[in-house]
Amino acid sequence: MSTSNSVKTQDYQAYIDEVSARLKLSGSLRLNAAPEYQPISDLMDAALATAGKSDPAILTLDLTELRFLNSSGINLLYQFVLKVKKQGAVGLRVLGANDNAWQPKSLSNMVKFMPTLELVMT
Amino acid sequence: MSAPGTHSSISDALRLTAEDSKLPIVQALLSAIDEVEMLHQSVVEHSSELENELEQKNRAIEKIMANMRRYLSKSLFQRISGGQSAQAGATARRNLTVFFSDIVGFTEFTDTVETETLSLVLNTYLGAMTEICDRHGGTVDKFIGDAVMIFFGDDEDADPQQSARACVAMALEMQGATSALQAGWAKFGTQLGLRVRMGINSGYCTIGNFGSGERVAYTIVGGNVNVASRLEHQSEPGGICISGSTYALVRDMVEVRPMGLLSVKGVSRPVETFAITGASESGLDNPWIKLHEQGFNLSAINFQAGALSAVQRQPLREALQQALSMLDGSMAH
Repeated sequence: MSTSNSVKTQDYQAYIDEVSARLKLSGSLRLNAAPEYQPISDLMDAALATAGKSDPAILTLDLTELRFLNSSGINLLYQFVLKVKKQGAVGLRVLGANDNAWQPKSLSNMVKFMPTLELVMT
Repeated sequence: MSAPGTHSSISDALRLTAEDSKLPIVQALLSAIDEVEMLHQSVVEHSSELENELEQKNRAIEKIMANMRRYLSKSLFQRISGGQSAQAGATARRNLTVFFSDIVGFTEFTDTVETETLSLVLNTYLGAMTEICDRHGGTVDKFIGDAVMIFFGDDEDADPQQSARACVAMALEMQGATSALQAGWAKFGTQLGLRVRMGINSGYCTIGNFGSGERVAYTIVGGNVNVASRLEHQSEPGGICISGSTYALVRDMVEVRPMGLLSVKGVSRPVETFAITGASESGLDNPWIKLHEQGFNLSAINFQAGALSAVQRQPLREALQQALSMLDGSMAH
């Protein structure tokens, strides 16, 4: 099931909260390759466009309930961060949780891609 | 994405060129390569993190499986671990030996003691019975209050005679252990002690997962299960009542007294019944006596005539005889 601001399957859920310019990913993202990630990628672009129109122009990525993300998924996420940095118009705030075993390491690496990124771990 | 080594040699070469030319295209390529390298490195780190966590989880699962194997019958373990998910409706026919027991007068007992005492008595009793059952290779089907239901022979390659013999050996040991437990219970105010009735039957039963989609139980059903339950009710307190079909498989193991025919609803022919009066050869753990290097420990004996059945007296008698012969033996030195 997919509308313009959310993607939802049995395993994972992604939705844009337009009021707070927030993209929340939750569940377990273990799609096989980039083409399968296209709906998520489109949603990220939509979230970025939304954030561009808001004030301040900051996009919040809420990953606190994203229990699992495979390598294709992290690749997508890093590439997105690079894109945001290059565009330079929108700031990024990433919310993570130490309970998700993969996040402390992989989310801190995200700051390397975009040093202005604000990472909040809980 | 190619190997990082390729990137670095290209970027090294470009860097040398860049020193002189400062061409925008060279600069752009350099930063693109840096990005790809960083991306590659970070994705690899992410993957390693996941792999390591996976490995850790695998180890944890293996440990749980090893523990489960110890507690469950081979057949049940395979059912759970082999991906044959517990679906209601998956059943098989097996030649089993089925055991029922309950404590005589337990309901009255529950009314006369404190809850704490009750749970202590019940837990020590059920704990001891389960331990004996495990040792003989039985599967505890369920506890219903003080009643215990156990079966033997659910493995595909199980030998029905072996199952019956293991079950009878277990029952004899349980009766012995129960009378030894009495000593501990006496102080809780059970005047005559609690006594256990047991029933055993052998024959074909349907085994499998029964229940609803949400909740299933691995259990057995069939006329032969009902017969075992009825035999238990027929048994005298402290005794073991077995059917003719079980007796045929354990004839050389036990001494019995014929108890006549029993009609069970839903079972076409009346069932021959026998009360076990003793074990022919006792290779069982004797709960009354524990041997150690220097000698032995005898459990506290509070003997009340009439409180012990013949089956229960036998291990006590054997323990005392063993104790006496050891005392005589040590005097000879």
